[in-house]
Amino acid sequence: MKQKRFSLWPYIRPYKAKFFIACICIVVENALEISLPFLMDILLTKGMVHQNDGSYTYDAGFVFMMGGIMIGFAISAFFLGLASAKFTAKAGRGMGFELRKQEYQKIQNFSFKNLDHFRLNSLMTRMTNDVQIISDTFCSVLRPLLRAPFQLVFAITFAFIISSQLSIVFAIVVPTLAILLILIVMLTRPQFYKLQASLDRINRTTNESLTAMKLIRANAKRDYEIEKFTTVNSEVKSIGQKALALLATNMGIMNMMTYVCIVGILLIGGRYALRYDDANMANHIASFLSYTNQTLASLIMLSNVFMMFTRSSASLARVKEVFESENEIKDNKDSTLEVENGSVEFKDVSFKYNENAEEYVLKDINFTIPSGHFVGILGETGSSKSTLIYLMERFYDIKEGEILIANHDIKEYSLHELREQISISFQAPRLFTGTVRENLLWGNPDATQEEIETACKIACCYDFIVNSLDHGFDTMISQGGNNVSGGQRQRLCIARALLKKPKILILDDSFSALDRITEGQLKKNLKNYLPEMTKIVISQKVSTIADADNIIVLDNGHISNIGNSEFLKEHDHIYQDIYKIQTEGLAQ
Amino acid sequence: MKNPKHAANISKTLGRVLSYFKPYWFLLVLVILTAIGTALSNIFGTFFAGQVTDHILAYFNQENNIIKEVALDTLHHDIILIVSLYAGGVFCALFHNELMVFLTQKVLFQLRTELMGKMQELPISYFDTHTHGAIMTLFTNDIDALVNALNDSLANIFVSATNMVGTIVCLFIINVPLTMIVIFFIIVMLVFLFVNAKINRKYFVQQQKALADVNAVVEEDIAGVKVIKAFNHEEQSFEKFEKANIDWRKAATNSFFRTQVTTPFFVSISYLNFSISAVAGVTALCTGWAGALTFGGLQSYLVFCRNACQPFNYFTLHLNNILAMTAGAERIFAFLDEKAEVDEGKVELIKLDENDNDFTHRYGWRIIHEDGSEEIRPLRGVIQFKNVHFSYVKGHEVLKGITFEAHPGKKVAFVGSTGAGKTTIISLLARFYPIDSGSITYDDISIYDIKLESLRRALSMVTQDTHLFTESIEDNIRYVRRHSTSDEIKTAAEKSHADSFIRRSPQGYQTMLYDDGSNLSEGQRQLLGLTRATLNQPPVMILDEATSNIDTRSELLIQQGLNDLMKERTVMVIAHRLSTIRDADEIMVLDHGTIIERGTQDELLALKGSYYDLYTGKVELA
Repeated sequence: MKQKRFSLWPYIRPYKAKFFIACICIVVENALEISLPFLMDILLTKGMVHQNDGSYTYDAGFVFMMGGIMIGFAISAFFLGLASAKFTAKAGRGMGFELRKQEYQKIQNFSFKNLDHFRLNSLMTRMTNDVQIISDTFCSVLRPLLRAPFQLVFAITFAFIISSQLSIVFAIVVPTLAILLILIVMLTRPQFYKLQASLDRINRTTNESLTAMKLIRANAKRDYEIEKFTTVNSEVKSIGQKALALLATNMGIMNMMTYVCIVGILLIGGRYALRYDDANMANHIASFLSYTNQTLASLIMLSNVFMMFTRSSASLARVKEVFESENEIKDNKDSTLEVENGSVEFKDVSFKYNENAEEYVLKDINFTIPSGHFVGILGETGSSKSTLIYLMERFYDIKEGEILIANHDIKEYSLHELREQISISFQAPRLFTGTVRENLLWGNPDATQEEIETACKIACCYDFIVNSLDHGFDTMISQGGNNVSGGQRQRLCIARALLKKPKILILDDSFSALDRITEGQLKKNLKNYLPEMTKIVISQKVSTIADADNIIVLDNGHISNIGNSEFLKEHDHIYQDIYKIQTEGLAQ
Repeated sequence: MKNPKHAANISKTLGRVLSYFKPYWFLLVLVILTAIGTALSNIFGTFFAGQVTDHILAYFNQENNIIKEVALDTLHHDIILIVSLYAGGVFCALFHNELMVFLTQKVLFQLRTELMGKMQELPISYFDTHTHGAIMTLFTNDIDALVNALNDSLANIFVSATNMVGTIVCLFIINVPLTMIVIFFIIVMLVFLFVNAKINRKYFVQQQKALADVNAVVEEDIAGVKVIKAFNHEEQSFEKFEKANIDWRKAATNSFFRTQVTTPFFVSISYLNFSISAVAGVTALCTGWAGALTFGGLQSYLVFCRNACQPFNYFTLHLNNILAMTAGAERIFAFLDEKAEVDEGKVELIKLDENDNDFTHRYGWRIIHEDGSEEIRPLRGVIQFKNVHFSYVKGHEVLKGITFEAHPGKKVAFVGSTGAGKTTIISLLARFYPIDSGSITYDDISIYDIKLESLRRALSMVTQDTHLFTESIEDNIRYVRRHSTSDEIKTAAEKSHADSFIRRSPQGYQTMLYDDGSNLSEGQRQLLGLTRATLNQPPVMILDEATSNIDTRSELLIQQGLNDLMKERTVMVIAHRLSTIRDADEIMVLDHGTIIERGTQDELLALKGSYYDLYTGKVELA
């Protein structure tokens, strides 16, 4: 299987033994079931003798033997059925497990560009609901998919063996029904895609309305919201009516063709028997009638299978997209190069997120940071401060220019080494479910209690962990870290970043919720205890970075100026403006 | 169903679902009649098919010395009868299936409309105590269950019931003793179906729980994927996920296997029934132990036998569908029965002069006094809180006697820690929650005497979270005033300094936003929120942390842009950042629901109290 078309086989492969056992059980069970009318025909024609006086006699031994065989088949079919259900479940759920697992790993390997492209909500759907739907479909489709063609072939073959004259009816009805069903499936499919799309729309509208409830109330937009909803609602109604009405004809047509079959068999069989005085034909009619249901039911089963495929194909397409995304960041995995110090150099770096975008996000960035320096980055909302540091960790790759760390291009290092040596505390401080200690250990899984405490003391969070959290380091952090305050979360994230003992520490607006005294203490600690570590601090507050060795002022993706606070106060108008706004009050 | 109260609830819910069919009751009756017709034609068809074989065999047995021509005539005659029966059956089947689709969609449209209408009028407190997920479930899963039940089961349960009764009756007509065999197997099957359904439910719940667990891990890891990468934490996170995923596999395998046990059981029980009936039938025909039986009768008997379990199986299937639907329908009706927001005010905001730009001339309050006289009071924007007490939960007061005034042209500000009650004050003004005691007035009218819609139209709120819809940036801004022109929107965006980033977006003002504007940064979202407020006209403007993610320099530029706008308006500001509020005419420091300090910035600094401590950075705002 060349990977162009998306195949589920790689995800079934680990369970292939179970999968094949399931298939075999289904087929054998089916064979037992199909032979039933055949056995019945033998029983009726061979087991009984029609006497001249119109009465019947029977061969008791033969009849009971046939009965015994049939009962034996019934019981075997039951156990085979159980086995097939068990193995189908194992294979189908195993496939879902494998699919979700590989999707998870794929997403973990996504570059930030991939992540931006998919958006988080949609990635969650792709890993949760979509996988469940695919696995459900697989489980419920396997049985009918294997049975239907098998049944069809067998039923028709047996029918021919019993009576070729009567088989004419099948020869006409089966292809007609097949064509009709294919037509219906083909007509219904696009309708169902449309229906799905309009259902997505109505869910989105509802969800947005729910999320924005306060906005709606505050602006008295009730009627507008209802109107908006009614539009999509009517759309769902009319498309739903169309699609489901088409599907409902399925049942009608199925009924009709079954009846046509029965009438055809009775008419042709009856006339033949009477015309040619063929008494055996009269007996065959009964067996034929029981094949009718089976044959036609297998066709309807097939058409149902296709409808199920249609319903799950949207999920499959979404999952496929995830697997087909290429991570454009190539990891120099085997590199043994180690980051020796924390010096950073940007040479003519320009960057845009999307190659087709007209404007650059960062343009002509040049600067050097000697190892151990404290550097501030200042700029307005949207001046690309965060982007600048993301480039250092290779969250995005640059196409123009060069970034050097410890005098080597960052692409020469393995991603693991690069991220091990650069530690970042993100703008939105994020903790995970688990204890405080578990969260801190993210920085270094082997850290000793002493190392943890040291990091916490530097990050000014030791006191509150020990004194104000109920269980100290063993306090559980809830999802999203909502049970500690914003300032506490920021400090925990800094401690986590410190535990890595990185060469370069990046704090992206990590002091915004701290009071000035804690902030001052924390900065002092960083300077005193970790002098050889390069510290890069992004902030909107001048006071946070005023004492930095160097400050990079960004203006709309360009470097406006670089220098220490004194220099910038003289020469940089942006710095002057911000400085003025933020210190004005104090000066008075 | 053992519980009689539960059973009563189910029939009540079912009745209420059916009441939605009231406008179409005639059609619904028609559906049921044709459904029964479908089943009858099927049963009689099978019955007569047996007679056809009997008639043919009668010829071969030379009973009554039938000649060939007569036999052929009888055959043709029989066939015509069967064809007309079947034709009627097909017609009925198509008719009731199609009509039911049509009716179902009509009823669902109605239900969805009612749900949305209700959602828009429930008090805000409802949304505090119910998760989004729970409310969304009403629109998705619960409605889906209704579609299934109404579309597939409501009419078809009559088909199955008729088939059930008809099959049994026919079997009895053919031969009583033989039928007892079938009855025995049907009872075995029914017992199994009911017992198994109960066990299934248990496993299904386990599966749903495992699914929820794995979803929770996925959600957290995807939301935190950037942190995971930055910390080289892929392996450990994966281990945790793998564990949840394995648990899911186990629970889901069990659950699916359980539901699938029904199929082989059903197939085999039918098979067994058929085999034993066949042997018994043959011996009965030959020995006559079971009374009179013809060969054709035996054939019909076997066909009925083979399909005897089918209608019972379908019947339980449809019954389960309908029961599953009532659980969802019950939730839907409970939602629809929730009390709407109280809206008993009579005072209305009316347009006075469309063309006057000054809103005090443009709008006015129409007050009908008790003596019947009408007063038009110009809209000004004077807000007064007098000794307002409020609690979300009885006994836990969040606001303890708040008193203040806000006048047009003035700016009042609130500072304080998270949980001090700043946002609550504003929610009370918008009547998101009712107050416990005290009074709130707008232009000297109690806000409880004003129609909700009028009150809210007279306020303009910008909150920390800007909610954005899946539409263009321009339409998102336009949301607050649907009839604004593109020029007006651009002017508003310029004033709030959103214009430059909007212009730099891929398609400018026409750039589409998705997923609540997830393609924008927090700061950009807030700029759009401010633009909305700029476009909006009301005399009272409330900014609740509206610039918290915008840097101080941009904030100042925005403030300058909005100065004109704020000049005649009453402005209420909540902010963490003190630079945002320093030019306020009155700053109120809130602590645990009371105003502990108030005055201008200079006055408060002179006090050297809490505000001073905040200002000098001695304490951090939680």
